[in-house]
Amino acid sequence: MSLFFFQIIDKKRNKAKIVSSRLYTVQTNDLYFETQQLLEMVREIFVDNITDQFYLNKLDFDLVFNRSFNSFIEIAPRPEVTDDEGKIAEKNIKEYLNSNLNIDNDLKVRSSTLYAFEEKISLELLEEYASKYLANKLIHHIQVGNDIEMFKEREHLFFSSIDSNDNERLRINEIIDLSCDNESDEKLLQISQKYLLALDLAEMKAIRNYYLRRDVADKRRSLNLPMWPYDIELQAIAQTWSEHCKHKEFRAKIHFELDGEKRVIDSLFDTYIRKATEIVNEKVDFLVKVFDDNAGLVRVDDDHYLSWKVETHNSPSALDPYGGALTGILGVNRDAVATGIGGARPLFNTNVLCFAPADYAQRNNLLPGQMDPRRIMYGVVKGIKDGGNKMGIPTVNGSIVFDDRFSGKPLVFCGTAALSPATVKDNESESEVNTALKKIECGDLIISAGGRVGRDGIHGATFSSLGLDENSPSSAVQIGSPYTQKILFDFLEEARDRYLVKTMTDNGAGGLSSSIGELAQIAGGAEVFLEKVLLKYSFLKPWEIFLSESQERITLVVEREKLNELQVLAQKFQVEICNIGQFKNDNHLSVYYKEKLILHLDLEFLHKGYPQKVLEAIHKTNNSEKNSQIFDIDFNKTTLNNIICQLLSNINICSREEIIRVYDHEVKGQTILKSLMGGVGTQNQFSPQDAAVFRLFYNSYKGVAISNGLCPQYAELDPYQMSQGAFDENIRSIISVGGELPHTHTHKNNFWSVCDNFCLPNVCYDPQTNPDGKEKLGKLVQMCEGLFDMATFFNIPLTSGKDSMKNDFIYKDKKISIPPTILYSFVANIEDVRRINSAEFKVSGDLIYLLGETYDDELAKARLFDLIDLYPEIQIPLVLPKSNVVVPKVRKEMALDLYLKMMEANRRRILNSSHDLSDGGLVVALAESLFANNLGATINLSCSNNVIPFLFSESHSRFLVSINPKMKSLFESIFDGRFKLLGEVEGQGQGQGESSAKVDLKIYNQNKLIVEIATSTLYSSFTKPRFLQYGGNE
Amino acid sequence: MKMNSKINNMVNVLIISGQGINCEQEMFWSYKLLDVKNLAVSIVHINSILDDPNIIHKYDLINFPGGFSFGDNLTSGKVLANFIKHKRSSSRIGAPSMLEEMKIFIQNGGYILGVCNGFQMLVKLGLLPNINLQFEMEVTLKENSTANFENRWCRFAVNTQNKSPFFRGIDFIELPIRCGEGRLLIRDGEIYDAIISKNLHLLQYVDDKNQLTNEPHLNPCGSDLYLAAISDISGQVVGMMPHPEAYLNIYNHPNWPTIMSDRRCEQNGEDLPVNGSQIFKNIINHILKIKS
Repeated sequence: MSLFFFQIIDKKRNKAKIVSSRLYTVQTNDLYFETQQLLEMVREIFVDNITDQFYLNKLDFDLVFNRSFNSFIEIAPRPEVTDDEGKIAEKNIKEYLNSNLNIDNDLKVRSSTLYAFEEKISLELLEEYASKYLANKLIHHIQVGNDIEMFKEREHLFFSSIDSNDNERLRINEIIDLSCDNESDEKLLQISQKYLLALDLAEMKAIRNYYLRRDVADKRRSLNLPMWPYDIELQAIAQTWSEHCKHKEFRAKIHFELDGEKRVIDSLFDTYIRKATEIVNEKVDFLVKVFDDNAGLVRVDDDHYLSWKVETHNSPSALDPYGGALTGILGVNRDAVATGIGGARPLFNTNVLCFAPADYAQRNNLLPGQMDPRRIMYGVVKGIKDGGNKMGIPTVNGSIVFDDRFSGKPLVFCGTAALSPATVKDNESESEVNTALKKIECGDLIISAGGRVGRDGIHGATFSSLGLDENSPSSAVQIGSPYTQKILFDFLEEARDRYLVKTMTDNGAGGLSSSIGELAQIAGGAEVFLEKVLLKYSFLKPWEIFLSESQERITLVVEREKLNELQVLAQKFQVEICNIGQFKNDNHLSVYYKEKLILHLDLEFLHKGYPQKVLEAIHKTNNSEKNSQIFDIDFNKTTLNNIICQLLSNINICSREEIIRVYDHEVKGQTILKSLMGGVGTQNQFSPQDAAVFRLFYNSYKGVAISNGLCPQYAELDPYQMSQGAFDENIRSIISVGGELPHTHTHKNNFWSVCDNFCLPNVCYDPQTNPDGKEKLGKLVQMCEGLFDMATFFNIPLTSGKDSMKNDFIYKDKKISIPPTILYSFVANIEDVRRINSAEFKVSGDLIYLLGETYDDELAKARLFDLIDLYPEIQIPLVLPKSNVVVPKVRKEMALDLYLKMMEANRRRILNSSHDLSDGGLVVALAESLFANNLGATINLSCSNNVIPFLFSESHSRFLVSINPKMKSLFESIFDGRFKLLGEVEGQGQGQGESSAKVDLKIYNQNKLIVEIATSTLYSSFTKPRFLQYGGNE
Repeated sequence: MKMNSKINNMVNVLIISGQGINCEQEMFWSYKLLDVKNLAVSIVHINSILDDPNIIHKYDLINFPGGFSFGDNLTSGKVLANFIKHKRSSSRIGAPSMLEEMKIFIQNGGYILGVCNGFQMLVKLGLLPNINLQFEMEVTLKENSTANFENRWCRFAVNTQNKSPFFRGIDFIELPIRCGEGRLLIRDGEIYDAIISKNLHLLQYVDDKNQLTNEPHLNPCGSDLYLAAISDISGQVVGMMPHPEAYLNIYNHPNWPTIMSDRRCEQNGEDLPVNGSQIFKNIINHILKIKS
């Protein structure tokens, strides 16, 4: 082995006191290069001769910048972690050597970054700075020093050098004795803990009983297997049975007590979610596949299907925000792509994020193991950005919610939709194959495609089923490679078009053990030969190979006679594929390693052998009294102006532009309604929109609207209404832009597809560790009931979803639990994207209306109160008695009536703008509507003593719309009493002078001017908070 | 002028895909939707061309679309440029590289358009602006002055003195930029002067009064000379950071609901703003004219 390295310094980029350089370290198999050859190669491949200086086997900053540097930090990805930069460098060097020097060498490259500081800083401080701002010790190797020469030591960057002496590595295929003795319960739990199985006692006993079964024992003896399981068997069972894979709590038997009345719920999933969709399915015509594949599938038209999936990636994002979010996006891409026979083309991404506010760490002492929320946010946004942008998938919309309780765990929801043809042609049999199907026959080959397997991401599925604490395992962390996945997807799409693959499934949580385990169920058995799996490096134990969640891998099912053709195609795309086994019909999963059988499990037991959980839940309905006399407060104009500006700067309301712009949201050129709309130019003001609208095809105007809705702030007070409210927020967003409710049947395939994502703290009661578990589970039951009632009332089907339990952070006796949260993510048909509404007012003179009813007491948890809760120093004289207000309630019949009227108005193209009311209420919606075209508005109200609730209440099912005055009578006849005329849009007048450019929002109540704020002031308040400022991070 | 394509009166357009390039579909449809009869558009994987670069001579116009070729590792466009420059077909000994074939392609009068990552690649390959005809880097594209990836619509002034046919008849155009490394830096004063004197500057960032600007929200890249696009001396090779293929029609514009509502209410009959498809129409018409 020989090593060489080179340093590349961008002279123009580094002018500050801290400078940085890229380092590449190359390990070759005893290959001798002339220095001149190496210099030439580095110059050709790596150097930008306009900006870069470089050194070979030498490190220096002083000469380049002509000053002296005295402290250094090097950040390198740990040897077992994906290093995309190094991998690409490796590929390029190999290609160069091959083409130019005819050298074929299996060299390895690792990349790193070397920072230099002028000051002489102590090693402790450097270390602290590095781990706080530049690196995450779970995935990075950090080296600090005051002498640049010490950084020339570079062997540690490579995997083999740290691991070859590790004797523990050689102990493979351990047998784990589950035999009974006196302390058997204790022993079983110890085993569960020791091997990170996350199984409870009942489950461990079920496993023991399986191995004690006569037929099993006999079979194992005949196959020369030990009586007790090998480690790989136990690990595979634990992954398959994990909460993440089997949703045991959603399938549990629940003894539920609602206001003293008891009943039993046998599986939340079956009772509410599946049932709701079954009921809806009788009334709609577009459902193709729900719940039993990687994503839900609906019919777009006779020739196309749309898959839609939203998932959480909370635990990985808590440990490494960048890697967690990146693999979250890439992972959900694979779900949407690998539905049915797979190979669908991804269309767009969505992301919904929940964090503790940026100032959380200033207000609270972080517990050991807890990360600064600013750092989490910075990393997560960067991960979503790279995951979408580098794949060429637009991130078309999103949402961010802040709440202190998300310091327990950040929530990171990632979603992807993909489009596939409804059929493909099988050239062999000349037949059309329905792409929704997953068909597998005995003898079909198991092919692994994409990235190689490493030790990264082991135990992700079981680990995410546990709470976080200061010692959470680092092996669950991983970094993705969008480049690898993009190439894989290009390949899969063509393989699908030519029907070279019968079906595929994603390697997500649980790795091969999950993907093959699932597919084996369809075929009725499978056998796998682990030594055939391509590895990143040797020294992986068999169980690690089987469980590793190394990214960018898809398991393909291929007919034997098509393998050659598939291999040729894979070569063209430079995708690695390997044949690792075949499907069988013996109802068993068998795994071999170097010809030795090491896993043999009954499929029935593997997938259904776990005992149903039995849980207890309690809920008491919150009946607060109504009091209508509480808002008799006379704010003066200055105070109200101040409140409105503060509200627009509230972190849960303010502009997300800083984040939206780092996401490529219009690659593909199909994004029609973007998150921010507005003109190009100096004015630089944009109006946020209710839903994204995306065109599905380049040669037609058919499209989809995409929305998100969640309101965790209501969870504590009324989880039923929280669930309904989040659902309604989606419906009204889609209706606002111009969607039509599914059952109205104005046209065929008027598809709506909904993903539900539940995130909860631990809901399993335990008198010591989780004393309020029953109440938490009671809330979950209420959320499910809300879901069922809304879905069946509006005939909107749930098509896919996910639950993430145990979102708690535990340190000694302290526990931070997230609020129970449900996110609904909708996609809905838009027949013609040219006929949609956007939120911003268009032109002066248009009339402004409020549609729907505002309830004075629906102010509980209103964003207005955040001003006092979060910023006591503002001292806004708010004295509203919070105890007498209630959570906004969804009145379904009333809402439906209004939505049908909206649909009628949209069909007649009456509305010039439409914006739904949500956080912050009417005043926020008004302000947002003014921004894009820099307009003003005069509003005339006649509220007696309820002007504050009218302006700030967050009642559901309301819209703020504007119309051309010519449409007034038609508009008012359609909306028949469900409207309130608020006022008029005002423009800049005809003059072009500076003075006429001033426009403002004026609100009169009973002819008294109570609000007067310039639109530009509203906008500067709206855009004031900054999100992506975090220390020295890049 | 001599054109590459053998079939007369037929324009053959090549769109490169693969290795992380991701705008090939919208590029394809930008041409397809022009509804020109004698137009054939093909998407071909870069690996297929690297294996047999000679095939580019079947085409009149090569497009390098945007994306993240090789994940933007080793800086944007660099690795793809390296492959085009260094890789030689494994099937034939001494076969020319794709770059060598591209030089011949340009000599033969062919056109090359690079958008975003395609532009970054052409610059690193030394094809743009190639004032000294040495195929060396004379300009580079580095991290935006805002230090972030940015997706934002900007306004551009077209240099009507520029030789290239792509922007003919257009004075100003609004287009989205979507890049992290769009800051064009010029190697030295000699190149700087030559770009101006030879009118190689093609698009420059302007404000709504059409004044050149470096305001971050109007020009997030912060290039030398406010540059967003340049051509080579022949005008046959053009590279641009903004995405014309993402502005297929008015419904891609971020303010289209207002623009269209004005028309709906007042029917003022004004023309819609010029969109990206005009650029594709121009080049196809130009090639058709040469060939007829």
